[in-house]
Amino acid sequence: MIEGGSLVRATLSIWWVATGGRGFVIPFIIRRLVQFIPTILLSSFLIFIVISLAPGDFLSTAKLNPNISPEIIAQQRENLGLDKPVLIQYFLWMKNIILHADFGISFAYTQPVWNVMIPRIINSLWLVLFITILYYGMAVPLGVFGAVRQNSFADKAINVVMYFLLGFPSFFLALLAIFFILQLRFKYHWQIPLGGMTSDNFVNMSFWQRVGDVAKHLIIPAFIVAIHSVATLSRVIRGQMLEVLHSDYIRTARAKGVTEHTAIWKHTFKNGILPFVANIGGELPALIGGAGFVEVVFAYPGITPMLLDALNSKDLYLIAGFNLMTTILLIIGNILADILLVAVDPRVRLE
Amino acid sequence: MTTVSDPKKVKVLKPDRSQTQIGIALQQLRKNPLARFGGFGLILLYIMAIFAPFIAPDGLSNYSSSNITKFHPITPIHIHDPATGSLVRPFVYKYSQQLNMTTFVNEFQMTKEVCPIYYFVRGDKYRILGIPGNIHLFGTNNPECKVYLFGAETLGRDLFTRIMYASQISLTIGLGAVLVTTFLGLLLGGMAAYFGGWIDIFIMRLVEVIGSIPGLFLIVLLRAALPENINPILGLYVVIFLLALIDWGGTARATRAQLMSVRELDFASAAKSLGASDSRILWRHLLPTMSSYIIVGLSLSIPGMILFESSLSFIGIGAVEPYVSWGSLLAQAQEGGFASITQRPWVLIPGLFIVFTVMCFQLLGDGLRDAFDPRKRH
Amino acid sequence: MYCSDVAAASFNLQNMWEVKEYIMKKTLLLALALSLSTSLAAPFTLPASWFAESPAKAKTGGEIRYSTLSDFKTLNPFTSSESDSLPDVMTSQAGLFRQDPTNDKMIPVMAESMPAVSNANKRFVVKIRKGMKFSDGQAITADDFVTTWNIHADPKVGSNHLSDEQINDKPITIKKIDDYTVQFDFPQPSAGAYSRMSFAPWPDHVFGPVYKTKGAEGIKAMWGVSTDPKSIVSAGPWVLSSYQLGQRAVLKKNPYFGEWFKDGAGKPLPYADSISYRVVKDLNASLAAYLAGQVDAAGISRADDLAQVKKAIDSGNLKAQLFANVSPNATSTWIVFNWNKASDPTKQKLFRDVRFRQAMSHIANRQAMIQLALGGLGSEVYSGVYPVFKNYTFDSTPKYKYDLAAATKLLAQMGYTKKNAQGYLTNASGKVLEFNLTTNAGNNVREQEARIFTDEAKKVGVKVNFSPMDFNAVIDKLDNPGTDRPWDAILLGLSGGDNIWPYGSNVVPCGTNLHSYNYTKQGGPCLSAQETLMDKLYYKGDQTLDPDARRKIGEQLSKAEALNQGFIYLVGSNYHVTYNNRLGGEFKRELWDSYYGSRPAYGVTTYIK
Repeated sequence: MIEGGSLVRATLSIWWVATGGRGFVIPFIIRRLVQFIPTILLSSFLIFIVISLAPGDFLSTAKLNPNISPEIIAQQRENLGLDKPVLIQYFLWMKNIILHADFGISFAYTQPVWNVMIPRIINSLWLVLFITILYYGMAVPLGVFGAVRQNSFADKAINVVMYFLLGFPSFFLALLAIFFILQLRFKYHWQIPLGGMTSDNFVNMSFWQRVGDVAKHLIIPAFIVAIHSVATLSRVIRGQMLEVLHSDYIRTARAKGVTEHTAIWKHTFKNGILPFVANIGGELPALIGGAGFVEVVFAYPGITPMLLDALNSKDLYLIAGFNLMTTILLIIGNILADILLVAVDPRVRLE
Repeated sequence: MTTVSDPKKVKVLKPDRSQTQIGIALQQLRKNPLARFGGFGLILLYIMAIFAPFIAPDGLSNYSSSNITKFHPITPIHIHDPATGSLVRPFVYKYSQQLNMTTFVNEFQMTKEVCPIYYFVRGDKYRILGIPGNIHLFGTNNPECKVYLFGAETLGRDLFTRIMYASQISLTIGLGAVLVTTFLGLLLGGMAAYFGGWIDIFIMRLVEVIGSIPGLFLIVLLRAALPENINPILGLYVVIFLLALIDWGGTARATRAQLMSVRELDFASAAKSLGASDSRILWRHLLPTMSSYIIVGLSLSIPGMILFESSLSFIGIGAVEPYVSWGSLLAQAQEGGFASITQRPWVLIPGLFIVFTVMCFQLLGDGLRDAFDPRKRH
Repeated sequence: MYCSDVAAASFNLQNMWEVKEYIMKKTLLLALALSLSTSLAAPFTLPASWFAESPAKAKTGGEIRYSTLSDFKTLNPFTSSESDSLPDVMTSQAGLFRQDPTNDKMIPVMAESMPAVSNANKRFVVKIRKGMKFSDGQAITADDFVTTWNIHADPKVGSNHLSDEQINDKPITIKKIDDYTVQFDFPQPSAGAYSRMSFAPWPDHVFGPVYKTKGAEGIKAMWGVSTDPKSIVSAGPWVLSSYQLGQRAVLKKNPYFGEWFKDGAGKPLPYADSISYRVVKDLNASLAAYLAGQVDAAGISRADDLAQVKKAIDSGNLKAQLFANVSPNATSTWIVFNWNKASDPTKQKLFRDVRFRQAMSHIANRQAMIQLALGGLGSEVYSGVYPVFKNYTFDSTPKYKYDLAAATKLLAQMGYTKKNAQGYLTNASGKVLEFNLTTNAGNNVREQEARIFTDEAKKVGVKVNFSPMDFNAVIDKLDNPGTDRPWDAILLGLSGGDNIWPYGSNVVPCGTNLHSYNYTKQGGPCLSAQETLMDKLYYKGDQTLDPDARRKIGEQLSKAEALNQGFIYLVGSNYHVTYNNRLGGEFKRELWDSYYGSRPAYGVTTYIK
């Protein structure tokens, strides 16, 4: 399930770090950056090995082409460097990354991986940001509401609706959505976008028209992903909130006459979200990881359809290059998360 | 103090001192109607899965290549004689089929032929828990005129039968994997938090290495790397299990974070000063503070796996022929596009089974969470 | 170029979404033209007789809106390997020759006239039409053809056109005689000589200097998807105007193209101002875009989609035309048995027995496959020549149709007379008649066909153990030569080809990599007499330039191929056409088929009503 990103939280929390003061941030970061190197080497090596474990390579499909001779395939294999042993391929690739910041060439696009990947990642980023805003915008209030008004009729009604939405795979919800948009278009001739990211005349639009046009295309897929997975987060928040809400120190706080608002938001909520803060790091790569199959069904030019193609055609460096990006982001995310944890939880120290 | 607005739950329970923790929890659970509903629902589902071949009137992959039943509609079951109106043995009508070449719709016409439904009929051979059998709960004894309780799918196979068989895969696919993930996550996260130092660094960097490879990547690649003659469903289980072995990172980080905040608390220090062993402190004192997180997490991740399997089916590496899961049935419906919605809505029924299962897991999970929460008892 | 279009089509056909991909690959045309005129700077004129409506009715202006299921991966014509690539769209019709859809003959387009042929059909001297210009206004001359050919021919570039530029590893050479004359020298006569020469020229003034200074690496680095469209130059009707990565490509009219490329009324082509391709990678989303009127045409293959289009038309929501089952597609699935199983002599003997293979063809219930796997819309196939190639379809080609009794009889002749307790046939020594069958997992159509085959085989007592496997694993099996190859039977499909010499160059001759039933090594020997005959006839036809003589050889070859049953051909999908009422400019209805399409490719004659 896509949990969306957490950029919003990450930026919000910078001032928290500033108020920390328990443990030295800079040496901590340096220490973690040193640990960074073996992690990256190991991770990128792993993905290389896993790719090469499976039979076939980028040129396998060409073998079924009645017009391409085996000699041409052999020549192409040499051109792409696929005739070399996996270890050599890996070292050459790593060498080029370290020496020239060159991630290699995508076989399918015959272009540097970086140029192929980045525009797609940016497209996905907009969608994921939209999703994240909707996701947290819905999940946090719903979770808190569920905890505060536990077992009320509204709490139960919300649960039932969310379980229902959770039960359908998001790609299927997306198909249903497209179907209903189509019916609406037939009936009322509303110009609701059916997919994609921009309208036909996008190139001729002014800047603000472009922003509006993209937003118009984003809203439905984003809403589907957000509403589909909102149950997950809101349930966990509700559970965590209840846990803290019933704890002694909240009782004490209430007994001391702290307002209900402060008891809920300042004391309970802040403590309830600790496990999520720990997982922020895991969500940073999700930010570039795209919105999943909804991108496919909505024909959105994001990273997911491209990666599926790359996996399918064994576009080696595109897969490995993208994986390297997510690894780096994951590690940075985890470092941020550890610092954040210190900021929100007075009991934790940087060690 | 009460935050409970349900009047049924405000009943005061006086815990018996001799009761065990689990005993109390079960007692609590029994008092929660929604949780009870979820629990019974799950029991029913799992019984259905075990006895699927018996409940199903047909074999999983049975269809005829001469008598075409592609997307056969749902056959209503009649109990009144059409001529006299009197009550008779339940029956269905036989249908005839033709592809309309102007609308391109496969049209089915009800004929006058009546096919009575019998109970405990002999039919397709199967095994339940290793015991062979060929008795089916109901059937018509007529392969040309079957009961299509939920209609038929693209090859003309009975959808009800397939949903029954699919439950076996959908209801088990994530169970083991989720338990393994949770156990490993708790153990390694707990160790990292409790011991700190090099162990912490090692475990957390390990989490990063394996967490850096997106799960979907890994599944696609690993599936392709498995021996080619492996049974596809075994392959699926193996891959999901492998994923579980490396998917504990999130749980581990969450556990570590939670535990780091409680390990300095009084009760842990007290236990330590009383000479409790490390593992005892970890399992008996520290991890129970995670119970809410674990229960809610489990009740979400088991249905999450059902959906994850459907995602795999969407890209063609989930439950593949001759096996089916609810997810793969739904992925097939997706493949039919808008026609699945307008011409044969019954192919969406597998989705309702997923929804029902997810709901049962949630309700039971909520109930359990409340039941294990000592502060919720009044 | 024609052959490569087809090549790319089959290349793409094999991936996970192949059905989706396939749909966009119907129009495999290269170019369209006719003129017998030899006068200086005479324009090329498309005969009005090809078209449904008089060219006088055609309107100018507007935008044609298409969609494509696969992303445009590059703008570089030398590294592009997909079909319907942007270089293809831009240079539609731009080639020396093209086929006349009314009689399949070659006619000159960028060539001024048909070439002078000498040296036993091995030398072609081609006069290039004068007055043609690239989109940047520079004249198109012999240098452009020579440079383009030489870059394609450089193995380091890795162009898909390379195979068109050599025969049996011997290069075809091109030489500039003067600014408007080139000479091709073939190592041997070739049936496909004209289509090999019908490639689109790319500007020497753009690619030539780079190739000279930086070689193949320099060429490969040019014209990626993020290149500024202003620097793109085209010899054809369209030139790139804008490309939003993975979303939409808009191509505008090349104003110089119409100066030499006219319709039957003498108006410059193309009619429309621009043509746009929206990238919609999902079949349902692509159908939705068509139903909503956002794109003007859709390539549809599934009966379900036809039904949706029909419904939208009938309810008045979509104003469009729908023509179902226009012709078969140039594709077929088949089952191939492995003749090289040294470790299992029983099976090797079985698979090498022509009676067994004929029996297997009798078992294949092709109608059931069409009804169930193809949704009722498909064609039975009995030969490696797809039924759309009508000029190469012969009555003398035997067909082993669905006939379980005939199969039983053939198997009995081979000694499989008794059935065991499970109902499977056994031979005298009690060995069960069984084999393993596989196909690539995830391809529902193929899996369903394999299941139907398995079920029918069971009816006559043949035990088929069917299990699909990963695509790459299947290809590895099929592709690796040896005397003991580790598989029994594979169900797959091929597609493409042309109606000039519709026999696969690496399928029919012995020892080629898709001669999958008998592939002991590269260049390995034939085994059966029919195979030897096929091998001989293939090369004979392939070296025959005269179409009628070639067709006669084809008739013998088709017969030998069918008698041999090396591949058991099954079924192929059908070609359907739908476009909305905005569009005009299609061919006469009787010319439509999956080979020539319903209108000239890429909107050259399409106008907005």
